Amino acid sequence: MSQQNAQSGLDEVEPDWAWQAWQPSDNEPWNAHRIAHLFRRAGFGASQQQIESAEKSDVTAILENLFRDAADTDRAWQESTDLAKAVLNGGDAKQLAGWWLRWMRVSPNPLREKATLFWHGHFATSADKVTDVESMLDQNQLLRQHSLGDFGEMVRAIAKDPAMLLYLDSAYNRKAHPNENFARELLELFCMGEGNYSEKDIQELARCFTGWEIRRNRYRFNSFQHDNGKKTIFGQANIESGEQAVDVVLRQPAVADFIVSKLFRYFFRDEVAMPAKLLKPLAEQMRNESLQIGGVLRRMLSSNLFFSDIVIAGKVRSPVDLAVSFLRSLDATTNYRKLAESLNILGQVVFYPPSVKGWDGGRAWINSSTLVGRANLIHQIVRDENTQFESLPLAEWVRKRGINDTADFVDFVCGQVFAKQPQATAKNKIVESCKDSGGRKYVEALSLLASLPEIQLS
Amino acid sequence: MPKSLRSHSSRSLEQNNTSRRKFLQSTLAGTAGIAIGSQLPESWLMAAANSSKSDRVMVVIQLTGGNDGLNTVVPYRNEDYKKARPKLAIARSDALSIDDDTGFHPSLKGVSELLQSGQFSVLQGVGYASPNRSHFESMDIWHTCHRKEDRKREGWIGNLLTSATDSSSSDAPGLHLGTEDQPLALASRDLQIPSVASIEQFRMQIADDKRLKESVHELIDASNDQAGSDLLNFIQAGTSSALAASERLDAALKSSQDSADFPKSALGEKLRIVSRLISAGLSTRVYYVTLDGFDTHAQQPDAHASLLKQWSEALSSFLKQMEAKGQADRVLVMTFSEFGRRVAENASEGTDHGAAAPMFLAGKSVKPGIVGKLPSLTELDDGDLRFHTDFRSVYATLIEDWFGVPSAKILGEQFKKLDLLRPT
Amino acid sequence: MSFRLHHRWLSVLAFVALPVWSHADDRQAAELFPKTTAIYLEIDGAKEVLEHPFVRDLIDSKPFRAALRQPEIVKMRGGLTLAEFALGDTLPNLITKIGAKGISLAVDAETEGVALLAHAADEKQLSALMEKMLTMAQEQAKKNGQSDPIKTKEYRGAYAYQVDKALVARFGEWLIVTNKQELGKSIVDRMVDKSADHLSSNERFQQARQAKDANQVSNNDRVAWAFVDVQTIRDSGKIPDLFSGKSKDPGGELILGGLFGILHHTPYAMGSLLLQGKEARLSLEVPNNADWIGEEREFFFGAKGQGRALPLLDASETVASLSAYRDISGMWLRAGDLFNQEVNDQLSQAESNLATLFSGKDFAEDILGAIQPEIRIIATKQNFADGTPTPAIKLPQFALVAQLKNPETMQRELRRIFQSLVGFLNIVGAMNGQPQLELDSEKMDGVSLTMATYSPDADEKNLAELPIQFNFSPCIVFKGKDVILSSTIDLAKQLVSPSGALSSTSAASTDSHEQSADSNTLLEIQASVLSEILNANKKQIIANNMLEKGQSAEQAEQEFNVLLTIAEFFQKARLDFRATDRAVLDVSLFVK
Repeated sequence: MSQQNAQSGLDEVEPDWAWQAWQPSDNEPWNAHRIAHLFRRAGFGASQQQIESAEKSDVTAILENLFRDAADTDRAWQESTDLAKAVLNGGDAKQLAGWWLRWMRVSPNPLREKATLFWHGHFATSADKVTDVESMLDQNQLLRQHSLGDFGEMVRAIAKDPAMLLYLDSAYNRKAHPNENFARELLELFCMGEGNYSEKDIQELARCFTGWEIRRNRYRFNSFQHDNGKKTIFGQANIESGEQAVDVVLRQPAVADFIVSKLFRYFFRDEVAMPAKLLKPLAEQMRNESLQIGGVLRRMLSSNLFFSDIVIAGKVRSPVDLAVSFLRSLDATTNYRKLAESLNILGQVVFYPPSVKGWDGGRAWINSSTLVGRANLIHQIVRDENTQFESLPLAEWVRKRGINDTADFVDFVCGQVFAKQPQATAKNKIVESCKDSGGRKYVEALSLLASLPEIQLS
Repeated sequence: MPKSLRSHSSRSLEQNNTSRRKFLQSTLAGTAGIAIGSQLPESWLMAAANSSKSDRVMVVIQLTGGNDGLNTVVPYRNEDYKKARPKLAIARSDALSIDDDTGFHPSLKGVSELLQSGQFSVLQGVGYASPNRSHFESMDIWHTCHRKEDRKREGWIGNLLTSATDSSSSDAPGLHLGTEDQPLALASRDLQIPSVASIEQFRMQIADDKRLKESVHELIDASNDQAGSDLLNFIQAGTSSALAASERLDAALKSSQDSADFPKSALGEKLRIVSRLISAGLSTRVYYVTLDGFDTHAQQPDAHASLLKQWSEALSSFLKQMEAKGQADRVLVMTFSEFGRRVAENASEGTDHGAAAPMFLAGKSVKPGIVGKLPSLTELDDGDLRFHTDFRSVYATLIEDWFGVPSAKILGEQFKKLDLLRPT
Repeated sequence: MSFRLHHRWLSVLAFVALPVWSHADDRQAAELFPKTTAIYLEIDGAKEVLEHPFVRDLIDSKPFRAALRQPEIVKMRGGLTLAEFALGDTLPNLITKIGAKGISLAVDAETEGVALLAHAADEKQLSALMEKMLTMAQEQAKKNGQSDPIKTKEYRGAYAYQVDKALVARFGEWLIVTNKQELGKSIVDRMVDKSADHLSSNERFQQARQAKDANQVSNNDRVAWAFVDVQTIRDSGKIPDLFSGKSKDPGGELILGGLFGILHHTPYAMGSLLLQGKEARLSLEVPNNADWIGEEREFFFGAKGQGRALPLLDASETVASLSAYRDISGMWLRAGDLFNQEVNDQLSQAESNLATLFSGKDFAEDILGAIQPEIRIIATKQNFADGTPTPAIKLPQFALVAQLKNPETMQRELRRIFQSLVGFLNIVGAMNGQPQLELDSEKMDGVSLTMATYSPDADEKNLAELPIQFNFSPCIVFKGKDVILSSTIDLAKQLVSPSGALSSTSAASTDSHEQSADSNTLLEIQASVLSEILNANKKQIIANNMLEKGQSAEQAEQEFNVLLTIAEFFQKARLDFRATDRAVLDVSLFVK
């Protein structure tokens, strides 16, 4: 890892410069390249119109808009909520996955969805075990509500979330047999990370949660099953309730360190460790701001480091990111239900994380079957009769965008979709290969572009 | 630190190739930097493959529902057997004789031939203490080696692959073929094992068009020459080897018919795919397939016969195919079920959930024959056979003697090994 | 657009304009196609078809006009309009002119070619039209920068033009289009030589023609007629699956197995399209013989072919009603003769599972074998009163009605099996967190009902959007010899009520179905009720479109409305299969 840090140049980065707000300059202008980067990381890519209109605006205004809290009032959100209800009537969580993919694609608040996906991997819960689909949706809404807000509030809510407690077998947590599963994951995976707590802390914490039950998919406190004895966690004695225990955990300094470094992995680079000197100022900020997520994340996404070559094209796209960004940046819509199924082979179905650890990300996404699967996914999407581009077939949409030949089309797609531009020779080869294919040339070009290694980077 | 990060520490392009390929590059091709996989004749890869445990493959066949062990490996001279099974007992004249006391179910012609050619073993009396008779819970025990109370969500194969996988290979370490939910045996916190429904998922679909296929080839080859970030190099190498694997598979698919005549059954189709993947040189170590329907509470004879036939035909075709492709030495097949069935038949010409039962190993490395005695048919636990061999001892043997990896950490404790495989 | 013709084309035109035959040709197409024709189709007169009230109504209908507004169609119509302009006439008129005396099509077994013959009223008109079309094709090619796509050939006085893979030729009043040169030549040969070796001299064709002409009732309404030389196709061995001994598809065997059985023996098949008033009927007919039916297919036709369907059931808001003679038990028990090994393996595994489900009873023999082979199924729209538990997805309710072979013993037996099945469902359901069924029973004058209902949770606030299970209140009902297995209590009660379809006095309720006494299988689908069911599930269907077609809410709603318009255009569809000395399958569509 240290070797990778050295290669990335991250070790040499000074925190003062890194977290300073980025300012456009003659050398580093506010241009389509950087705008696309911001939209890719703080969302799922952007259409050409969005990028063009952002060019007329500035980075502060764009971030302002990304962080705005409009989800609940949006008409689009209302429509999506209705759609979720209809999906619940079918009772299949795989369809709910299709619903969320659609919302990632069409939502006017892409950062909120990107962050919700982050928290879904963080507080990983699988519908494989939680068969009640409505509980899965409720948890998803909970994560969305707090995704850019107060981490403490989110943890307090997740500790009583039916889907989470069902998933971690804590739904029947008895005085006589405290179940340590939730207590362990709360410390190891949700709040602090390994090495920051003792086994004794876990045992005491588990006792605090006894009597926390899920009955008919709702949380209920069963005082008969609650261990009323005094517990000591992190040296703090006389703790009685689970609520108090969660607050003790949240007061540990390691919490902010843990969350900031996970945000860094998700939004910046997942291949490298965050150097302590870069972590420190952000973790301090998060502690000072009572574990608010939005402030730290906003500072990160507006920073010099974020817009530097260390970060741009420095991440492997997750399967969901690959598919949704492809659609969003080309104004495309498709069969979301089928898309959810196709993502299975690539290793990421939302609502079905592989384990409580969520998705590892980074190089773990990449192996020979997932790479074949990724190329096939785009190949299938562009050939699916339900895939449309602003409600048009591909060739007509291309014409509407004023693109007249294969070379222009390949350039256009590279600008929209790729974080790392393919080499000119590769682009020429694709143009050469497709230009005589008549009406199919654009479809073929997209398939070929999807086979390039560069498309996997964000 | 999570395993995934540890195992993917920095590597140059060249280091991404498997150690086997690296060995070949330096000794056979002589030059470093030669493109991988596709340019090496398959037979060279195979010759090298056979020399080391790191290329060994295990295929797991799970018989879901609880296979009736007594009617699979039939104690036809045993009077207690005949008494307990007035309607279901298989007569000596029908069974395929193994020895004076024992014979295979008449559907197991292929399996019987495998035994005769020294490629099959029956492990009698396998199970575990205080058997659980629920399908799901007993299956979980076989998958995780732990009881439900332990709430382990990791499988023994998931753990095995975590310790035995060459992390530099870009092929999936294990593979589950089928449309059912992924068996818990493959679950791991640090490794994601794909479940796939068809062979199509391994092929680059764009390669269906010859012109585009050539273009992809040129594009990927060209991209390998460019210098990029470490991350991009990693993906380039992965893409090259994915394309190579896809092409080897395509070639394997196009090349003449299968040497073995795979039956047109669901299991036959799955094992046909597995045989193709193994022959195509994937470095995947474990393939997992299931055959469901063994929960024969009623009208067992025809149903059980057709299931056993499916298993036997598919298994023997698979091993024939491995032999023909020169892969037989590195392939071992293990067959198990979550429990056996009750000794006494029920009133519906069926049998109910039981406990101990035989497990089966097949392949050229297996010490052939019957291992262990059939448990007594009269000294029963609640009407069920008593186990004398813990299934985890079988796992431990395979983990250590087949894969050459210590088993204690994988299984949670050290289990006694058995003498099941031929010395190498 | 101008028609400045190349001088070569002028000479062709001059030739085509020469009257080859000065008198009208009154031969039939069947005398021009080869004797080896395997499939033959004729349309008597293009004009009659296009001007038939049914077709006119269809073209004039809302859904048809809506379809014409679809973007792809609009584009195609744009091309057509151009063509119409170039040819100086509308497409319907052009078809009417070219095919004034009939259009026919043949698939030849020997050459494996397809040929179309159009018989025009006027030779000059035809040649002028062809000339224009060829010119247009050439101009189009020139515009696209392609070379002249048309090659001209001459054969025995007929001029033929090769356009892509198609060969277009004119001979007198006849227009010939074919994909195989030999076939085209042989047709011209027959035109010139008047040889006797043609389709009309095929014995089976003659039999079919006679049968067709003998049927005075349909002759008035028939607009198209087809002949299939089954024996030739069978002997050629080209479609082995259709004539092979054993099926691999139990579902297909159950629905159509009898027809396949007949195809093993019958010499020919013929089909007619009849238009009459508001009805369009496709009628397929093959000669049949009770001796052809092996014992293995008695499940379909009954012993000696005497199996007959009972009259269709009717109830309020019936959406579909099916009645058939099918001895499913017999089919299952005969599986060894009917199906291949794979299917038999699957059946024996299914049998084991089903026996477990049905408390050890043999499914084929004890359960399916308990009922007579005359089975009827009815589906009706389900209505939910305001304030009562209502599922979000509203399925139709349906019931299976049959007669028990042995009512005294079987009633108790089946009731018990029903109860244990409900218990089993509850155990499985409880494990998956599904709602639970509650058993109940009721007796009313000679009718015994055993039923199970779902009740919503006491704290359920939204009674209007319950899970899909709330479509069901399964019940088993006995009335005399009849057993009714219904998805809801409501439908079962409707059927057994004094005014219901199963009441002895209500035979009149089925009179409206003009069905033949010989029917083996009858099916009727009411489009108006179907569209009501669609409407009741509008929200779900729209949600489905949004997720599966990626549509916006507005687009999805629009598409739903088109679907509804189409459903509303039709009144009903009907299928009637009967097998006596001829086996006939009628499929009818009725418009409003």
